[in-house]
Amino acid sequence: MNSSMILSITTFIYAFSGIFLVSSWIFKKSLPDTIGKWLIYAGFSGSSLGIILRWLESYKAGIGHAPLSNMYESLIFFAWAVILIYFFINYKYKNQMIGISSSLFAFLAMAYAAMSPNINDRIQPLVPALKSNWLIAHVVTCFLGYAAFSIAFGISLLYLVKLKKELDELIYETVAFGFIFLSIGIITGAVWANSAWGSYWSWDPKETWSLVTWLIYAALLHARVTRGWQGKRIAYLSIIGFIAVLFTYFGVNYLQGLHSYGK
Amino acid sequence: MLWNFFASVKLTIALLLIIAVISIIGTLIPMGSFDIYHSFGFQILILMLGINIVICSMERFSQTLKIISIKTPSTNISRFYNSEAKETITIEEPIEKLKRFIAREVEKGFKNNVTDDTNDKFLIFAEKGRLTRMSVYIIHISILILLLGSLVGSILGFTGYVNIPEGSEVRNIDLNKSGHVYNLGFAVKCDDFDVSFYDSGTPKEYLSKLTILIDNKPVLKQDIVVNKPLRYKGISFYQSSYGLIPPKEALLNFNSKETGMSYKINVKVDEEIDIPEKKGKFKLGGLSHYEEVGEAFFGTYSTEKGKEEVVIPLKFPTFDKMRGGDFFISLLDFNKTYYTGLQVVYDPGVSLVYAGFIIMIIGFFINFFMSHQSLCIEITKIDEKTSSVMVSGIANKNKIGMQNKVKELSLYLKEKNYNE
Repeated sequence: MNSSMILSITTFIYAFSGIFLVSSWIFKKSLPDTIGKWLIYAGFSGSSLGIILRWLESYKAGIGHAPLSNMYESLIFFAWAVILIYFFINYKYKNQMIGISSSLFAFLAMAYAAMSPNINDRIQPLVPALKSNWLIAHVVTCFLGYAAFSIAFGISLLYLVKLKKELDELIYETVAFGFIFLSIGIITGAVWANSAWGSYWSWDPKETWSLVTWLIYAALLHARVTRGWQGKRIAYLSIIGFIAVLFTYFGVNYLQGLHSYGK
Repeated sequence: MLWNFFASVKLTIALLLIIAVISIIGTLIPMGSFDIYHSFGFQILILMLGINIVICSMERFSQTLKIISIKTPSTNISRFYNSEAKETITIEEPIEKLKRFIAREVEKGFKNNVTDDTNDKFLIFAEKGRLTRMSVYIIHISILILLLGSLVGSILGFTGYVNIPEGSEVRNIDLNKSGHVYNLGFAVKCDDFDVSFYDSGTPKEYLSKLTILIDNKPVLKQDIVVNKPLRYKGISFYQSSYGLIPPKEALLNFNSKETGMSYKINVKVDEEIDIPEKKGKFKLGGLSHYEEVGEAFFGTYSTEKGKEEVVIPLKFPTFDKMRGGDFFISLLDFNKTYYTGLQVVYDPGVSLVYAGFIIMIIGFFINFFMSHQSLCIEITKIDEKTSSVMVSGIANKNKIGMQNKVKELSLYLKEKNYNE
C-alpha cells in the first residue's frame, strides 16, 4: 500500500459520504446521515494515513520533508483540513449542512489533485526558500483558514437556497473561525518572509491577495457585528470572500511573484 | 463633523473594501511599472483607516467601560425570558433540594452570583467573561502598533544590496530606493560561496561563509543560507543571489584537424591571438549565460573567409568540435570565482510589528473563542414534590453556542439523580 493508492480510495470515500449526506437531507432519513458521517470518519483516517505515508516515503527517497511543498500536496492537505474544521464546527453547532459542504469540498480538492494534468503528484525535493521551520506553521494555519472559508461558502450557497435562520449564524461563526487562522497564516508568512528575505511584507501577489481576502472578511465581520447585517447580504459577502480565497490559492500562480513554488 | 465622519463603521467597511480593490489592481498591473502600494493616495487610505480605528474605538469604549464596571450581574429577568437560549423543564424534586444543588453547580462555572430567594421561587443570576468585551480594543490597538511599526521601518530603516566576490570584503552597499551608497561602518567578507544541486538539477542550497571585520579584525563568522541570515548591529544580511565573476583569462586548447596537434594557450579576454599553423585569429569575448547550454565562454574565430562565432560551454568543454572547422577550441581551465549577492536590511520597526502580531493573535482568541455570558436559573415550586426550572442564557457572541450550553445544562439537571 502506498500513499497514492490510499489517497485515491479516500477520494471515493468523500464522494460517497457527500452522496449519503445529501440524500439524507433531501429524503429526510437518518440512516444515510449516519452512514455519511461514518464515511467522513473513514475519509479522514484515509487522508491522515495518506499524508503520513507520503511523509515517510519522502524520507525513504532521501529528500525528507513535510508533504506541504507543492500544489498536489496542498490540495490533499486542504481536504484533510476541511474535515478537521468540520469535526470542530460540527461538534459546536451540530448542523447537517456543515457535513454536506465539507465532504463535497474534500472530494473536489482530492479529485482535482488527481485529475488535473497540470498537477504533478511526484515527491519533489525542497527548493532552498522552503527549507524552514516556518513552512509547517504557515501552510497549516493558512489551509485551516481556507478550509473554514470553503465550508462557510458552502453554507452560504445553501442559505441562499433554503434561507434558514440558523445557517445565517453558522456562516458568521465559520467565517470568524477562518479569519483567525487566515490572520495567523499571514502573520507566520510575514515572520518567515522576514527571516528568509529580510522583509515581512513585499506586496508579492500572493501576499496581496491574502490581504485582500482578509480585508473582505474583516468587512463582513464588522458589517455583521456592528451594523447588524444578516442573511443574504452576509451570504453574498462570504461568497465574494471565497472567490478571493480561490484567487489567493490558484489565481496568483498566473502572476509573477515570490510564491511560484506553489504551482 | 469630521469626528462623526471618522466615527462611522460604514466608513470602516468602505475603507476596507476600497483598499482591497486597489490592492487587487496593484497585482494586475505589471511589476515595475507603477508602485501603487507606495503611492500617496494609498498611504492616505491607510492613514484614514488608522484614524477611523482610533475614533471608532474611542466612541465605543465608554459604553464598554460602563458594562464592565457594574458590580453585579444583570438581574433584568425579562431579557432572560425573551432569550432564544432558554429551556424550561419539570423536575420531580422539592424546590429546597434543587436550590442548594443548582447554586453549587452554577458557582463552578460562573462568577458574580446573585440570588433572589422567596418561598415559592428561587432565582439565580450569574455571569462570566465580562472582560472579554475588551478584546476588540486589543485587536484594534494591535493593528495600530503594526501600522506604527511599518511607519518606523519606512522612515528609519533601509534596504540595500551588495555583491561580494569570494575572498573579498566590502564596506559600502547600494541602497535600493535612492540608489545612494551607504557605509556600513564595518566590513563584510565573503570567505567562500557554494551552490549545491539535487540530482534532478534543481538547486538544493546556496551557502555563503561570511566574516564581519572591524579594523581588519574578524569579530563574527557565520554561514548563511536562504532561511538563515546573518545579523550584526541590527543589520541583517540575506542570501539573495549569486553569480560567476567574469574571468579575465582562460586556458584553452586549440586542436588542429589537419595535423592532429593540440596547443595549450592562455588567452586573455578581448585580446586577439594568432592561431598556430597560421589558421587564422581568435578573440575571446568573455563568459556569458546561454539558455540552451548554461554558462559558456564565447569568442570570434576569424580567417580571410570571414568570421565565425565560437561557444565553449563549461558543462561541455569539447562542444566546439561540432562546428566542424579546421580547428576546434576546448576549455582546459579558468579561474572560477563566484560572488554572493546579499540583501542588506535595517528595519528598526520589526519589533513593533512583531509585538502587533502577538497582541493581535491574543485579541482574536479572546474575541472569537470567549464571550460575556450571563445565566439565569429560575426555580418555581409546583407542589411539595415537583418544581419547574427555567434555564436561560445570554451571550454577546456565539449565540448558537449559548443555546447548546443551555440545552446541555437543562438536560443534565433533568437526568441527574438527586438522591445520590
